[in-house]
Amino acid sequence: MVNTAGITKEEVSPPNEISLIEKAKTNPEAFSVLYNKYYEQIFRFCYQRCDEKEDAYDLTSQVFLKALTNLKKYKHQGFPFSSWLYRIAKSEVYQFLKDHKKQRAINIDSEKIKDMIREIESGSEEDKIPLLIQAIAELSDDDLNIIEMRYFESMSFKTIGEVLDITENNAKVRVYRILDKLKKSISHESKKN
Amino acid sequence: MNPRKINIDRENITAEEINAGKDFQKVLKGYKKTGGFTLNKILLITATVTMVFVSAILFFRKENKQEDSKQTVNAESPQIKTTQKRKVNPPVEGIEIPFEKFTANNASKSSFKTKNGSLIHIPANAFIDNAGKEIIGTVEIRFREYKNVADIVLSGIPMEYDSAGQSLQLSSAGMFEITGYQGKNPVYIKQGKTIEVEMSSDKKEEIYNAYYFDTIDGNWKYLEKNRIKKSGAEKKSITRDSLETVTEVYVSENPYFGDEIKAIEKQEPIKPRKLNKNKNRFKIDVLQEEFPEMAIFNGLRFEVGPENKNFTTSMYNQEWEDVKLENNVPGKNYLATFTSATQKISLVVYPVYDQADSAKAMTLYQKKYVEYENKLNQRLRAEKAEQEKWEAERKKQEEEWKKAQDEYRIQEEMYNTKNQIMRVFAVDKFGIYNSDTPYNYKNGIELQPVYSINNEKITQMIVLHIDNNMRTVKMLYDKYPISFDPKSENYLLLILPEKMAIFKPEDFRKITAKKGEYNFQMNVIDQKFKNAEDFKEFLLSKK
Repeated sequence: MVNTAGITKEEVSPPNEISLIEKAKTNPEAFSVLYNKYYEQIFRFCYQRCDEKEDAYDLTSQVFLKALTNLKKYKHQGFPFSSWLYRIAKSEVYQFLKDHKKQRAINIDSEKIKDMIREIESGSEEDKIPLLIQAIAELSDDDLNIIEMRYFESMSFKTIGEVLDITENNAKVRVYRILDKLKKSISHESKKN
Repeated sequence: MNPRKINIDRENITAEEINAGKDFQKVLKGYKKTGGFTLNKILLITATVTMVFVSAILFFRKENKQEDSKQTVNAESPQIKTTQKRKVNPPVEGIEIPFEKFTANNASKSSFKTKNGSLIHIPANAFIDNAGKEIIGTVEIRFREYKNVADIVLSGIPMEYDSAGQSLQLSSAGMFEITGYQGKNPVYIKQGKTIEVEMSSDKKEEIYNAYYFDTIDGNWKYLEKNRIKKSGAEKKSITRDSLETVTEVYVSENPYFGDEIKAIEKQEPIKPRKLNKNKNRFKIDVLQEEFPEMAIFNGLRFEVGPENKNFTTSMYNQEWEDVKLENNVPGKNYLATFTSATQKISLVVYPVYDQADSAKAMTLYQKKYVEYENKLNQRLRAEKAEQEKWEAERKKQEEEWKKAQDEYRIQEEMYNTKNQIMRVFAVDKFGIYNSDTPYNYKNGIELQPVYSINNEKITQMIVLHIDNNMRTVKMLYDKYPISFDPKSENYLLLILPEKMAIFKPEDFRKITAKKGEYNFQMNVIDQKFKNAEDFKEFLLSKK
């Protein structure tokens, strides 16, 4: 693979990511390998939270710029580099939407929302999907992010924990609590209707 | 919060479209424009210069004490002007430590015991009114104590002490406030009379002094070395370790989060549809002895989906050594993989039926669907039962943990009450009294703080630095450096007009920087405090 700066072709095998990161700390051009590797993932993460593609492109660029700028502070702590990027992305999305006064978008896949309703209502209660969507829309930013990571982006609890800097167990507990919250909200709205 | 925009089944974006936006050169250019690590150096230099500048101002102010004494430090104007005159300013609106009230007959002496075990001894004829006339009848004595850092925070009592041109932090063994009223009118202590207050304290050291807060000067006045009386109660040792057993509430993992359900759902049978004569389709002929699992697909045809870009009809007449059919998009299509010695092809296919085979195809489908549904429902029931079991276990653990904590707290209170000492004050005027020692902490970390909430920098606010071990509460102003002992239990409390935010001991423990600028990412406190106990519970609870 040859990067666009014309640096000599290098073979990089995944287990050597740590040494690549160390190299990129003093040679920014070497960061292009990581950029190419994680670009699509980070874009999808940003796009999940934005309404417009153009915003997601800008955000993705911003995430990698921030990562490169702060790369010297990055220390390998036993979790993937991608988790660190997701952390930056989460923060950048928030800031971007705030600075540009844009609405936070929630992009829902109908199949995935069906998975969720089954988990919450232990059965196929698809008539409650609109209530679930409403309840999701009312979650706090933090809770919404967790739900998106788990159900719309199919992240494992381990990854969620790494992104949020909490333990895997804690990530499970938080998901459980949010589902509980959603369930109560649906139940409450059902009774009202 | 801005309302959110909800999109359902937004059009998928392909990998090609995503990668079309890649531009590493743009990122590299942006990086070079910021100066990369050079910018960090500039920030460090700027922070250092700011600290030197602030130190210079403080030094200058110390040398010009007289001129500055007229200025007031108002906690609502965080920009520091002077360290001289301070005032009591409870920072959390509506939440204060309530007064205890006692009724004293001025004609006779009286003694009272507070809920914290402190004693108030009032001599006869101790009170006069505004005009200096002796009070006739009863007087309401109002008394409240500040025993821990949560109390001190809520009190808004400044804990800095100016002595010999130096501003020191006071480390408290306890404070109290005492006032007197007859009806709505304040009363005063007659000259020559003193109320003796024995304030209960958990601090046994003899290093503390008695101070009085002069509200006119806005400073603490040293009174005397704090006299101590021991309570005389027997010391009782309590085994604390046994009470701190449940520290982790969720000790068992709940494995039932639907992963198995997802796996079953992936096997959802696909309803065949009537074939479209204009589309490519094929039938799979297999030797049933060799591929018994394919028997169920007999009679079905498979339509080649539009997703397949490389399909050619030449594969129709090939003989394949192996064929695998697995669910691709559950409920929608299969992935058929054909393998020969030289080739392997995977196609996304849709089951279809010829009109003549329709009954057979639908019967087969319905049979498979019933089997699938039974399996799914069985699993759902099992998971629900397990989840309820796990929830019950979790609740039980939570209750055990809470019980252990309550027991511990009761034991702690009993221990403190039985073993406390009494610090004696001669109160000759109403106001605020303190048992303190000036604390000038030497070995630790000093950082130049930047405060932010959700990555948004905050500048106009009150910041309190709390050291629970030393029982100090220090008010910091914007750009005031933070000095702290990393071994202590440190907190930062940021108070804004509409909210509060906190930086907890566990956040402090993550700080690896020893100097320079540090971004304190504060966490907004969502909880609304009903009263002082609520706030105390929040701040001091070990949960």
